[in-house]
Amino acid sequence: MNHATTGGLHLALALEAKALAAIQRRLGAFLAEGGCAADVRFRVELVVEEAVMNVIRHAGPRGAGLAALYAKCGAGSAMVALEDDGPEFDPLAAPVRPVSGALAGSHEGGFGLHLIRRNVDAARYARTAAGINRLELDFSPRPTDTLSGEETGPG
Amino acid sequence: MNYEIVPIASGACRVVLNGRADAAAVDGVEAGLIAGLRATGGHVVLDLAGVPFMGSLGIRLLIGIARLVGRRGDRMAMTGVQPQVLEVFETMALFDLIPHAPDQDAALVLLAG
Repeated sequence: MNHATTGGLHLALALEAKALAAIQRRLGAFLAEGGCAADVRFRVELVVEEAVMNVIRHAGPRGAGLAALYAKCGAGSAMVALEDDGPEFDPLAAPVRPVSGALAGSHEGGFGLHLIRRNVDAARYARTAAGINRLELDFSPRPTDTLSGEETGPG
Repeated sequence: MNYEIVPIASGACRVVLNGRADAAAVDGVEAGLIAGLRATGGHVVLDLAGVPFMGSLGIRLLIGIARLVGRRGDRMAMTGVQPQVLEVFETMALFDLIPHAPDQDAALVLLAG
């Protein structure tokens, strides 16, 4: 089911990376039409990329088959909710890997969770009674001069 | 996303990336780009002026290139990073690992230092 409503956008997600670009275009257009600034749209795009790829890489091989994205926007802010039926996983509680050790070869990835936490203004995770992971992400406009080096995310 | 490896002065090379560095795009170029860089020597100047978006897999690719270049005793610097991508890199403290210069000449000076 892919349709926009007056209250928001609802997109079914195919759990494959190559399908994500089309989702991002739909979401970006929806947010632009809703008055979200380029800064908010960029951070939404970045966080959705990381969150969906996390589901694809980790939950997909372990049985996740259904995923959906819901988005709403107003007053320049956006709320995005992502759902999947994979194993329980809270991306807001999982440990993140600092980039500092990567060049020495201590690890090669794991930066996506860091990007999620640093680019949202608020986030909530719940495992529903129906066995669904639901991640809600809030994005508000940020003054340009606070974007670097300032801890604004929940983690 | 596509890439080009261009020899420049002093035996170094310039790697030009163009397009969105999302997960699917990175997956499409990673093997070829790494293989191409294995066939070169010298420092690497990575030109990101044509990259408007980069996620964590793109960052992982950059770190992989820097590690490859470092293992052979050379270094890498970035130029032309677009403002929103720059904010992502600053958030990740990526410039602590891979320095950023305003242009190719400045990058070569940085790498020679």
